[in-house]
Amino acid sequence: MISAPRYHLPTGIRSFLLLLAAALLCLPFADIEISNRSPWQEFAAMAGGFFQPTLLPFDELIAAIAQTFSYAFLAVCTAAVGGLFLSLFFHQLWLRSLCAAIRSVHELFWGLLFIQLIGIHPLAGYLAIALPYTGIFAKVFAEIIEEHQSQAVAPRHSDRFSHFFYAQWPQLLPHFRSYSLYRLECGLRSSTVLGFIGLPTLGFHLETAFMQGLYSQAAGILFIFYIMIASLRWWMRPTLLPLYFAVALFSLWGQEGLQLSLASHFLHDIIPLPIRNGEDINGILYWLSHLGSTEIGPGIGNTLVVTQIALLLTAVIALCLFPFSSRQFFSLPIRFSSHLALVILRSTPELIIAFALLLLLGPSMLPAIIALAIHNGAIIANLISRHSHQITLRLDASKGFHRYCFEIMPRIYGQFLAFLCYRWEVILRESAILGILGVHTLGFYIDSAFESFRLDVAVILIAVSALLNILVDQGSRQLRHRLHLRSTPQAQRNK
Amino acid sequence: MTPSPQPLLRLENAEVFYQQQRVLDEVTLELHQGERIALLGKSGAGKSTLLKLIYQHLSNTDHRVGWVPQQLGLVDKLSVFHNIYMGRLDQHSRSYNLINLLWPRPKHVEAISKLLGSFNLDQQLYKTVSQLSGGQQQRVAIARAIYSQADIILADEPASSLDKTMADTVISALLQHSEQHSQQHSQSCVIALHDTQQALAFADRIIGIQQGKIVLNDHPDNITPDQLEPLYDHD
Repeated sequence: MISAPRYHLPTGIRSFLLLLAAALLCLPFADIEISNRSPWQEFAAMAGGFFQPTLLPFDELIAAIAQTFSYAFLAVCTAAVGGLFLSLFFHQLWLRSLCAAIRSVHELFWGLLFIQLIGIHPLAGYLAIALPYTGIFAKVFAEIIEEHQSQAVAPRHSDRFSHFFYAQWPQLLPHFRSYSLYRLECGLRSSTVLGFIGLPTLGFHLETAFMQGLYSQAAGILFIFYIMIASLRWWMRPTLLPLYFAVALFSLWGQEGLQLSLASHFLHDIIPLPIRNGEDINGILYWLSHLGSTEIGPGIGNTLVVTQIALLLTAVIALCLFPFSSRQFFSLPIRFSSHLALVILRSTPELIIAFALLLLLGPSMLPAIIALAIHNGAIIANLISRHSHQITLRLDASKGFHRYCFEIMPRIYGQFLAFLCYRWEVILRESAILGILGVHTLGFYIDSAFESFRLDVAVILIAVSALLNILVDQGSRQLRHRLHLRSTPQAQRNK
Repeated sequence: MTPSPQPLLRLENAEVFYQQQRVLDEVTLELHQGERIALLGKSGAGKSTLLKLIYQHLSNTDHRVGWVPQQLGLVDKLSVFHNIYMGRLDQHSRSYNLINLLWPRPKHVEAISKLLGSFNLDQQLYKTVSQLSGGQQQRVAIARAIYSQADIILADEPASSLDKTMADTVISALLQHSEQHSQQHSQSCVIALHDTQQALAFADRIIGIQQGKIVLNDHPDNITPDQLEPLYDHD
């Protein structure tokens, strides 16, 4: 009898089991009831609307498209320039921390804050996107620069800026351009969802149409949105940038609604109530503990419950869907249809999917979980199916199920886990945000605090949400490090 | 072992084109069960193409083919055990294979450990292929082909990245296993080799290829060094 070495379950599988255990542990705390008694009837009405899309009146449609584009375009342009500048100093800890803090707050939360600060005005929408995107650009550009640092041939004794622009810039430009284009796509999505908090973008009309049961109109708006995203690479040309800049400025310029007087109220109201009332430390502690037990605690708990279940479901959806888009498994017609479906699912913001599901299934965590899983699962499926195309199989490679388990999965599994780790933080951010639809995550309590003009509570809850994001980001980073997963801008770009 | 009269495969005037260039030219060839054939020829002569052609023909029949490609085709992130086990995937159900992927069954562990012992790799059983050296990976690729219980093994320079001693050990192990297997199934071997001495030592038949054509096809005893020399002549 030969004594064989002891078998240990591979680390990748163990981490997946850990993910499964975390989701199962969260399940008893999840409210996943279907409260709508006739979801199929609603579904039939929605599906009917999608087969007969109608458009908004022309002037309203053009205005909504112009607003959606303008917020995204101006914000991404300025964030790219600001991010590039900051990336040159990104080695400084304070700057890294500042960027981590501003990007950990979701655009919608920034939007809610700026609306309180200056009213419903284009500037609020622009800043809501530009600010967190500057933090993201700074981080990703710094990573791209770092990745190409060793390849740069620098003239001796050149200063930092000369070195950057002469030795590195030509190599970096294609990467910056490609990432900026991707960020513009994200910007269009963010700009659209800002409509859900009152800014007049496509999302505003979409929400109104859904609320009024005008599913044909909702479908028409969504199709316009898909066309904008899908055709981005054709109409976004460097030579047309000045024209787009002029159009964006023109469409936002001179709009009413700027209420700078709100700023003084805002700055007053964000001071915690017991301090404003001149209470002592006991009063402040009591206020904080009450806030902790009634809003912060339940908000964090529900956000984590939604996140962990959605993360597991994301993984399952990604692993089930990617073969349909991979040339290792299916022929062109199936791959094309699957790719189209994945692009549509990943282009649709979670908030919109969740909103439609909420109407369909009724209020619970279920719409949020499914929306997060579908959107993020489609993104990961798309990425790993592309990754699978790089694999060259041997002549006698097995087919079908065996090919999936033995040939492809082991080769893509590391990359899959890396993408899943990246999406963990994104899913957490989105879980919190979906609270504004009524799911009791942190966003719900933040939205309620804004509605009842408790700005001090809203700001504290946003800070808690940001902190949670930073913690999960750190956790994900450590997990990737422990699993020796690739952590480069290429993967980060897909955040 | 005497080859059976019934040919395993017959190729007649086979031609293969790659990017409008003829890489195999009017190849006529018969393979018999139990034969050990060495393919000789310099790089680019057409050995790999001929092996692939043989594989394609045999894969359309009921014969089981053990394939050792030049690039090895192992799954880097999978353990040595699982890479070898993949040789017999088609002999078990999907669920059985899936369970074995997550938790290896003792009977397969024992069989594969024993096989690896003859390649001095038994302690590497659960290491991933990426943790092995090039030479060790080459041995794993051969072990996989042997484990597949194939009727014929097609190997494309299976000892190319091994030193002389290890190359001899590996080829001997391959033949030894082939011989053991042949007692029941008449296993055949077609191996592309660079080393003419190795070829002469183990093969029943030597096939020499030059510029896509078979220029030599005979028993080693009938071949003179003068006939072998042009096969590795440099232009």
